[in-house]
Amino acid sequence: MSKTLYLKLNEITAVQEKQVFLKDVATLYCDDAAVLAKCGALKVRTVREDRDRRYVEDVLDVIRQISQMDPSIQVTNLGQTDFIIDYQKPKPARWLRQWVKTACVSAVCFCGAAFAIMTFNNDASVTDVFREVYRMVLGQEPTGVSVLELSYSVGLAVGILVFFNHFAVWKLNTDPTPLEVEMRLYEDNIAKTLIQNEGRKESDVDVT
Amino acid sequence: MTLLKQALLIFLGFCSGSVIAAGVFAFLAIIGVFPRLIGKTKTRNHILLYETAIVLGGTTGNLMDLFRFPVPGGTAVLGIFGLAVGVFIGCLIMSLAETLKTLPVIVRRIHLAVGFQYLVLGIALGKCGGALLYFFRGMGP
Repeated sequence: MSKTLYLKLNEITAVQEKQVFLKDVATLYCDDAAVLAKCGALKVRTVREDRDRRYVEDVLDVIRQISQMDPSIQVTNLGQTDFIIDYQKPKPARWLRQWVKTACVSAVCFCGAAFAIMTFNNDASVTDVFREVYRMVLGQEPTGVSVLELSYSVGLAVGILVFFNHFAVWKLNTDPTPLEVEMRLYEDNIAKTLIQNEGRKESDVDVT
Repeated sequence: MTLLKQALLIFLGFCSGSVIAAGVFAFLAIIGVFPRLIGKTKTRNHILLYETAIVLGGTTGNLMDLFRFPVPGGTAVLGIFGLAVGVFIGCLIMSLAETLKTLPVIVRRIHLAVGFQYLVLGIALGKCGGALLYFFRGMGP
C-alpha cells in the first residue's frame, strides 16, 4: 500500500543544532503516524564546520532519501523546491552588545530622518514658499514664525504617523508596517540570491 | 475675514505637511537603507522601535529646521549626530547607486572577475576623501 507524505519546506530555517532533521525545516503531514514520525526524524544535513554558514539544499535529495528509506512512500511537495539551512553557532545571549547595536541603528534612524527632512526643507526652500503663500493669502509680510509653519509641522507629524501606521506600540490598524514589508522583501531577495548562486556554481560559466 | 484666511493657511500648512511627509518617508522606507541596517545587525525584532525613532527624528528635525530652537549637549551631541548622519548618507548614496545598477553594469561591461571588494573599498575611500576635501577646501557655497 502506498502512503502519501505531504511535505511543505520552509524557504529558510535558522538552526543552532548540528543535526538538522526534516521536521526542523519542513511541515509534514501523513495519514500514517508511524510514517510521519519516521520521515520527520530523517536527517537532512549534518553540519561539520564550526562556523556560521548557510547551506542550500534541494528537495530532490530529500525525496531520494525518503524513497531509499521506504520506496512505498509517495512524496507530494507543496512548499519550496530549494531551501536554505542557516546554521548559527550557539552563542550566549549578549544583551549589552545587542542593545548597543540597537541603540546605534536607532541613532542612525533618528538622525537620518531628521537630516532628510531638513535637507528637503532647504532644497525645496520651504520657508520662502511659505512666506510667499502667507503674502498671497493675508497680503502682508509674516512676522516671525507664522501659523503656516506650525500647521505644517503638525501635518508632517500626522503624515509620518499615518505612513508608518503606528507610534511606539500603539497601532492604527493591523497591517504590517512599511519597514516590516520592506524587511520581508529584503529577506526574500537574500534567500532567492543564495539559491540562485548555488545553482550557478555547478555550471561555472557566467552568462554574459 | 482674517480669521477665515488664517484657517485657510492652517489648512494649507497641514495638507502640505502630511503630503510631504508621505513622500519623503516613503522614499526613505523604499530605498532600502533601514532593512539593510536591520539585516546586518540582525535586530529585526526591534523594527517598531526603529520606526518610532524615524517618526521622532523626522518631526524633531523639521521643528529644528523651521523654528531653530537651541539643542543642549554641545560638541558631544554634534559628534554623534554627524557620525549617524554620515553613516546614513553613506548607506543612502550606495543604495541609490545600487538601485540604478551602476556597479553590476560596470562589472559586466569590463568583465571584472576578481577584486570586487577593492572596487567597493575604492568607492568608500573616494567618498571619504571627497567629503573631507569639500569641507576643508570650503567648496560649498
